[in-house]
Amino acid sequence: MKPMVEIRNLKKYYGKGENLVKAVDHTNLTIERGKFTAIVGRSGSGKSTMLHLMGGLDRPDKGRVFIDGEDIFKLKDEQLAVFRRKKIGFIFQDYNLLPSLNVWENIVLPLGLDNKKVDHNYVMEIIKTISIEDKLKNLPNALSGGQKQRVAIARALASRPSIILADEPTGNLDSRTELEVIALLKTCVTKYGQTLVMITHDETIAQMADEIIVIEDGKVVTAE
Amino acid sequence: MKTVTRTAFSNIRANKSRNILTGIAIFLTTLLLFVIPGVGFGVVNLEFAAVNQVYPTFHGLYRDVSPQTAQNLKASDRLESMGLRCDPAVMVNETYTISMVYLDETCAELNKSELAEGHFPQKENEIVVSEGLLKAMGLEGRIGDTIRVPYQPITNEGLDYSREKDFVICGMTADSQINEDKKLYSAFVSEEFVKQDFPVTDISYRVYFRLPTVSSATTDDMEEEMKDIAAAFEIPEDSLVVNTEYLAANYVDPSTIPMIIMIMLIVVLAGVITIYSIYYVSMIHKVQEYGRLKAIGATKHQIRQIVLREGFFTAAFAIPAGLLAGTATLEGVFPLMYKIINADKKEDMVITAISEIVKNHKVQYLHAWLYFLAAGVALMTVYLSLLKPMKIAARISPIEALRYNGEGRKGKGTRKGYEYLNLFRLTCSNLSRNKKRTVITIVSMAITGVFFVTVSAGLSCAAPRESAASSIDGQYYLSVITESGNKEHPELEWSQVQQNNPLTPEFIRGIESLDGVEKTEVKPCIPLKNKKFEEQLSLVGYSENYAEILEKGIVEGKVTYEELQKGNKVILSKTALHWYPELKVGDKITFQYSDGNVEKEKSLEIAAIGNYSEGIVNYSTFLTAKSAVNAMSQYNVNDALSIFADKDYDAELEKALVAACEKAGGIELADSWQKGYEEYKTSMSFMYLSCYVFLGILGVICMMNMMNTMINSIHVRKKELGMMQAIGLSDKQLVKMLNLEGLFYTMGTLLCSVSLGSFTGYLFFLYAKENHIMGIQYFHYPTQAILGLIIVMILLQVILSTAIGKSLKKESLMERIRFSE
Repeated sequence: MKPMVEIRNLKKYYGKGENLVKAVDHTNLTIERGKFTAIVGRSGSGKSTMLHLMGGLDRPDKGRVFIDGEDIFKLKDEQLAVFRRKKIGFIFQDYNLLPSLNVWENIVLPLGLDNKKVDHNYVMEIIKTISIEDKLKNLPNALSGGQKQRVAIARALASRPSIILADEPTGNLDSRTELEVIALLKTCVTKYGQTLVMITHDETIAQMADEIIVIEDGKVVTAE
Repeated sequence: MKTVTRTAFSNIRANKSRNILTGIAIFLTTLLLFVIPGVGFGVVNLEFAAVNQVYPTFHGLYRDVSPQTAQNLKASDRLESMGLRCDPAVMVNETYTISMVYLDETCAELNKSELAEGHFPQKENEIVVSEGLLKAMGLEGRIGDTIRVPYQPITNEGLDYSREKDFVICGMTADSQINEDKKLYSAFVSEEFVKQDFPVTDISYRVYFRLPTVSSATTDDMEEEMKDIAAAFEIPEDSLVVNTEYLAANYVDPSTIPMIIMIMLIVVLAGVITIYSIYYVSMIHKVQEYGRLKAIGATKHQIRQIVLREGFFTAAFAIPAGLLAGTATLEGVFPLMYKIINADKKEDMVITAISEIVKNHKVQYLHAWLYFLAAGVALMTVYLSLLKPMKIAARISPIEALRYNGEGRKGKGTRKGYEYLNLFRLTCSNLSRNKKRTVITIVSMAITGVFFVTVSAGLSCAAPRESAASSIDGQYYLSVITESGNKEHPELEWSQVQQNNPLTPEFIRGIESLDGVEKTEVKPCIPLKNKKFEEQLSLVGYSENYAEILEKGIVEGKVTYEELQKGNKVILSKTALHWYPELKVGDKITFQYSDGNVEKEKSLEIAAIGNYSEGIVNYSTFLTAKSAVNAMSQYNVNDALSIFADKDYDAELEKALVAACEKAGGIELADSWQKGYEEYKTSMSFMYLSCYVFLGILGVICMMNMMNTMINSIHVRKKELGMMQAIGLSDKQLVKMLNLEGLFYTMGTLLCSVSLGSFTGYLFFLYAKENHIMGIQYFHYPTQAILGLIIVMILLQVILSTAIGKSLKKESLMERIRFSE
């Protein structure tokens, strides 16, 4: 079976001369299907850039990224956008919910962008799983941080993506909520058979993963 | 304070896009504020300069003044200077009108009557002529030569029998093209000639005068004084002729200044709304920054100063730029303007003089006060529009500011929302998120839009074709030639013409048989006399085809065509009411009129007052049924023939009509649709151009608004949009969404502008029709202008949305997702 993510000789540098930052430096990596992978590393090690390149949010200087066998950088911007909304779910540290939409609308937004009909039962099942069924009409500014992140998780899951990329999803949460959210996320991906790649610098969370990838100076130093 | 200034200055760079937009708005506002009074006063100054060059310098004149009254006037000190003129006779000539005029020295001076050579007549047999005059009379001669001149003295009853007299040429005047074009010449004769040839009872003077100069006098004051003097010397008020052009050129006309001030106020209003709206809208995402400044100790006053100084810094660049552009515009616009006008109106002396002045740059268009005025008003505009943003910025508390996202402090926290989302719904949710911003943008744009549609409606109603059509009934107007009081031509008296009227049914049939003539309408006329009125009043008859028009036009009283047919009731034209304000509905007046050589009487009742187009009324005082007029006379009283042709203008038909008139004799082609059309076209073309250029600039100012709102709305949502793109919003969808948002502003603006503008435009039309402004008769919806507005707005908005969408791509998706204020 093809791996979910395959990164070959990926390179992304920023700046020039003395200011040159080697965010991702000729890196190779493979992530298996259906696994929970944690990417850890110090601040500025290039883990976020790696995740963004993996999700096609940025284009590399060199190298290739295969998601579910598709060489994503061979796709044009327009095709890449469509690919992202069908295959990839994103969860960001600061939630990035649309303030003008209520919880329900935020969750079904990716489906709307894809002109897909909302599978009401499926979305409700996710909502129940993450326990926000009584907040559906609420606007994001009426939610707590934990609740917002739950909504972000539900949004990432709603379009049934093959892979979920999470960039420090619990960075803004207190430790109790943090564990709750991660547990929820793990339950969901297991339940729906999705691959989860998460950036974290929290050792406890990393330990909950099936695989831990350590990044230093833009390179994978260990994958265990 | 240095820190405040520095912060304000650094804000200019930080808020580059907003400041460029406000800069453009301030620039355009300044440009308009400079150009409008500049052009306004420039035109007025040019005309004044031309008038001073061309027009005589008297303030006014009294007609028909007896020698005794003239002497009394001279003795009084109420006139600064006065000159006498007397027109004792006209030379006998079929084609030309040649007046014989006596002027005293002061009168010659006030009239700018100068001789090319020789001197003014002293002796009884001396005369001043011109080469053109001699040619017109078929004479030859130079100074010192004797010429024999046939002339008809002018008496109180009209022109007397002709006489002949030998005159010695003592001086020559120069001819102008106008003399030949208008077939009009004057010869100067001496006072001796007047006194010897005419009984004192027949002599009446025109007294030309200047009032003692009061520098602050307005034209209205001076007119009042003239009337006052007339009353004091028992000169009838209608004998006063005011040299309006000269007075307007040299004294303040109270009506011109408010007009310019009003236009400038509109510009200031548009400027204030736009600049305010730009600041208000962009204030939303600046709030946090002001909050932070407050948190570290900035006072309210300092925050207000930062906002104010930022605005003034922008103005410091934009206002001089506007003044420079205005200077260039003023320098360029006058030669261009008069080149356009001069091409059409070569025969107009004032316009020719203006062209001369423009060409030689004799009048200064640029004045220091103009720069101060425009800069001052523009600065005031900026200040006014900054007041509210300053207040908002100063009011913010640090805590509030950090939470503030422009959505109001206390929301419900919930939203009903949609079950399914699509791009359209997404757009709606964004627009409803900041309703105040959306409303402010639309309202400020709509104000300019409403103004645009109103003015376009006015301009389209003043369509030259419509105006020409309303100025004439049909396409051609033939009239019977008559002249009252000419003893040499008693056959031209109306009482005589009607006994041998060339406008016969045969003649009319001949006209109707011409190619292109669809129908004709003959209008009989009887001049009515009554000692209460100095001049004759005319009663015109209209056929049954006009029954509906006559009845519909009634604005006061009531009368049917059937009642008019009975012959005792008439409709008074509203235009005539202007001259005879004492007339009213219900008046029964007994008039005298000539039925051939028999004087008859007729009692008429004014049953109604009617407002009709110029073409229908055509100088008639009373309107009634054709049969009623015909019944008053045993002769043919047909006075005019309106010809309705299949084409508005047909050169062949016009030629045929002139030929038919010449053949019949005694009838002339008095007016045509084409003549009216040409006149209106020339006078309106420049107005169209200037109005639309003015509206265009106003439109650009208001478009700045939409640009600002959209740029801001996108700037604020940069992160959001990035996030949406991360989860699958494609570039095409993004541009589509921005277009939908822009379309909402465009549609909202258009809807308000077109609906409200159509309404105000219609109100303007009603007002103009009622008051006969610009010949407006029919409401003509400004479809073309509105379509133009719609196309331009949608096009600009699509370009804007696409450009903004493209500019977003300059930053990578990741930069946008990470973006925060």
